[in-house]
Amino acid sequence: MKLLPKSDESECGVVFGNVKVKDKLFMQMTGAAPEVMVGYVDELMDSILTNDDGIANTLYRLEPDMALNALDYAMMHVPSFVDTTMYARFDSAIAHADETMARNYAMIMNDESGMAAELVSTDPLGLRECLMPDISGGMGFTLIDGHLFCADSTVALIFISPDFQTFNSQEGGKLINHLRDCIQQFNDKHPEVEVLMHGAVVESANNASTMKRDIGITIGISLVLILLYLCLSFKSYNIIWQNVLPIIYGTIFALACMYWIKGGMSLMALGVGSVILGVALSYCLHVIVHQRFVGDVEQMLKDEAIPVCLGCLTTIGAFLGLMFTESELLKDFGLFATFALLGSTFFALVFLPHFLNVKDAKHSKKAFKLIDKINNYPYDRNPIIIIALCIIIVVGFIFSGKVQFDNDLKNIGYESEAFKKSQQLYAEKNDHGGVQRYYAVTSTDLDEALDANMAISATLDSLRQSGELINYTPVASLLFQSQAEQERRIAAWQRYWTPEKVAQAMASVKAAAVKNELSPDIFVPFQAMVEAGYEPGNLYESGIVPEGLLCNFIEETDGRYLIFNAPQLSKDKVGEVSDLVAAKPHVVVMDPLYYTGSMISLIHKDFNMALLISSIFVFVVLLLSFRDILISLLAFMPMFLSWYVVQGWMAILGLSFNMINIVISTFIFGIGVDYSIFVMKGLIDRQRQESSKLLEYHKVAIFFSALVLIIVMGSMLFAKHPTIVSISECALIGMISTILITYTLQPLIFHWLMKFPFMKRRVEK
Amino acid sequence: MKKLLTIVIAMLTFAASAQKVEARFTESKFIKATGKTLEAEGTFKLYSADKMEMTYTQPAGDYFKIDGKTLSMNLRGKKSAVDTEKNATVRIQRNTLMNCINGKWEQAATDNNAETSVVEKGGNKVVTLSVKKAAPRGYSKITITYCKSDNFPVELVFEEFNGTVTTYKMANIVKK
Repeated sequence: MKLLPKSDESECGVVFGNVKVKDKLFMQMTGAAPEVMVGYVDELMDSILTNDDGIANTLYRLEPDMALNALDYAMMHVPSFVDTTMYARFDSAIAHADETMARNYAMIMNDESGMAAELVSTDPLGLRECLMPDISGGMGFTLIDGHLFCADSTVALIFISPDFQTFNSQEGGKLINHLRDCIQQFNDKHPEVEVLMHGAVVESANNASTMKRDIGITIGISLVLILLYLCLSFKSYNIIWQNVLPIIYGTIFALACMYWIKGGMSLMALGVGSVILGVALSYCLHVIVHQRFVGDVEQMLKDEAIPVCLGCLTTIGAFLGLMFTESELLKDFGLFATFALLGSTFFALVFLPHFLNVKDAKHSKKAFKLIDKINNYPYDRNPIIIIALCIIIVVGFIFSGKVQFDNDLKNIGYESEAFKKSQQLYAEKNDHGGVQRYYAVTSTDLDEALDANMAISATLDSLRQSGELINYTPVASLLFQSQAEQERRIAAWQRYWTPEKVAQAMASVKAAAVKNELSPDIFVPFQAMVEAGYEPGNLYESGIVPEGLLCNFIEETDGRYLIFNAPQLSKDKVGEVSDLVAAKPHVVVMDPLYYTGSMISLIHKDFNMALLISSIFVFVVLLLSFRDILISLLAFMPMFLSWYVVQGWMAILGLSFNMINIVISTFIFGIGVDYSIFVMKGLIDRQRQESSKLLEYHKVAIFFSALVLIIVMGSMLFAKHPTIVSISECALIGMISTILITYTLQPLIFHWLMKFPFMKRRVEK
Repeated sequence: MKKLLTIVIAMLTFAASAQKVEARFTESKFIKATGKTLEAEGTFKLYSADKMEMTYTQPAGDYFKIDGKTLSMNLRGKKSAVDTEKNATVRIQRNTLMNCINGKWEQAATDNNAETSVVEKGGNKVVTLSVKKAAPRGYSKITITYCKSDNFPVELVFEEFNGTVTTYKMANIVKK
């Protein structure tokens, strides 16, 4: 949720923050007869609960005493469960006492324990059927020996509520590993059954482990290859630590600053932020490469200090724009990137030169011959390249408006095959071909929430009756009522059960009993029940409903009560129904995507604003540095054009922006501005004839920097995690277009401008 | 000192858990609704004022136990254990039964809002508790026959409002 901006308007921020129902873990067992799975579920859960760290509660069976306790509570508070609309059904039950009594007779005769006789003597008219239309059935579950199964009894269900938030990936990882170990041991003993699990915690843990593995493999291997290439090119192993040390320093500096300022940061921001270290590597390469050419630290610093500082400043400007967004993740990312760049640039310019060997100017002639060939090629004089690049840019411009922004956060998460299978199985067995949505009524006052819930239940129930919902049982409103509502219901009960009505019902019952060969004298408990006096109760605090079950209906989080309703509806109705329900007071749609649609649009808008701020900042810095508007515009051009190329070509290639890769585009601007500053500085110096070699040196550094980043980004295309792949796609298009524009159009326009004497004078002065 | 206390506590615990009374019992449950009578029998054991168990030999496997606040039973294979703190009806039934067995029938009468009568019959004391007002659950009348010599119940009759009457008869009573 750190990805999303904080919302002051709705209660969803408060609700989503700590609500436990969204963190529920679903475990399913299938592949054996239900009677066998009852024992298996107990065995698996016994093994899981040997270590219940991270588990708040579980729900997989209802203890036998729960039914007895619930019955006892119900008998003591019968009127509280009777909605006033039910009295019409009571009238009908009295009128049809004969039919009910025939069923009672069969039930009593088939029972050897005497329990059926007790039930019939208390409820001869079957009023319980009017009150509770099978709550467990309404929830879509079947109970077998007290254990929860799906409606067709083929899948045993286990619900685990963690005692931490989903986004606590450390705790989530521990719990999921424990569960996987238990499932593995269980499957070794019982290979015939399959145990599947899904839920936000599983998804989060899968995401974290996949991201770690992907980054470890792709970036790790590519960095090793790159460092080897650098070692061979420069004929020195020192190049490794000379590159790595500033980055380590920058990372530690950034983490320390984040801790100092914020006390912590989002792990995802750290993961995405690690890509920024590629920019830091670019600065180190400029320092090291230049040193290798000039062999003089002082000279190197004279040549490199300004462009490196300028590059760092403009890149920081690009990232600092993110500080103006409302998203905590984007802010974390912007701040981390800023400090990481500051730290590594400071190290590269202040500490690193002390360790550089002044006489060390070795490099592989073969490798550099190739680099020189690539760098010195006159791209700006090749009409084919120029025309091709212009076409790429124009096409990019044309299609830039068509790039899609993927609002669905699910698409940036990784879902394993087993996870998808578990989700599909659950939906197939329990969601009646639709999807389940949670709507929560929330208030700091339980009674207020309960009253509001009655209204929502009525709305949802009318939607069910009109066919808008596939299935809905208002379990929460059937079980839990406010004190005031209970008092109203008790009064209604007393108004209904007048002495005349009691006499009429008793006469009807006794006559039906005689007709069905049952004793007419056994119904004293029924009469006592309808004539008794009642007081409101508090089922929520009674301790009768176990925590694992209760949290499906009511949850108390940070002093706020949430009452859940979970209808099943077809996918195409989700938006319409959610809009209707969300318009009611105190209601929150417990689907982050319902709100994130608008929140992500907000971030998108935020991002465009951040982009504008960054662009203005970068341009002002360029203007102050080059002190010429045309030169500044020229230096600014690659950043500007590459943004449209990225957008347009992503649209053409069918790729879309998402919450993560759009952030990476700031990184592209950072790199684009850096390359253009170095090339511009080289072009200006050559024009001034201060140093004809400076452009060449800069281009070598740019070559290594681009090579490093293209290899790293390219390797990320082979990752499993969709976010990493989307970052790679976006960054590769941006990087390649930036380099092409910097190597081709920038010198082309610069040389064209130099044909004008006034420009030449301005540059050469 | 600490060790001594531990030993004393262990001894007291052992003494509390030690069996005090053992008897054979027969159970006869008349269900008025059907006119049928269900017969059962087994062993009754009373360990302390709040711990007892009835183990059925017929039907075999059934049991009914009270251990402090927990009442557990196995009725034709259906096992359940009830925390009587959470269940008012079962709590009253548990207390009534234990009070009747332990001779505290006055307390049982108060708990059930019942009138009492005591008569002597054949050397035994017969106590009858008649509940004043009909209720949806619970007993309408309880009759306990105490052996006058040791005040231990030899027969308990529990009548419910729906006409079901359960009679327990104790025999071969052994006190330890």
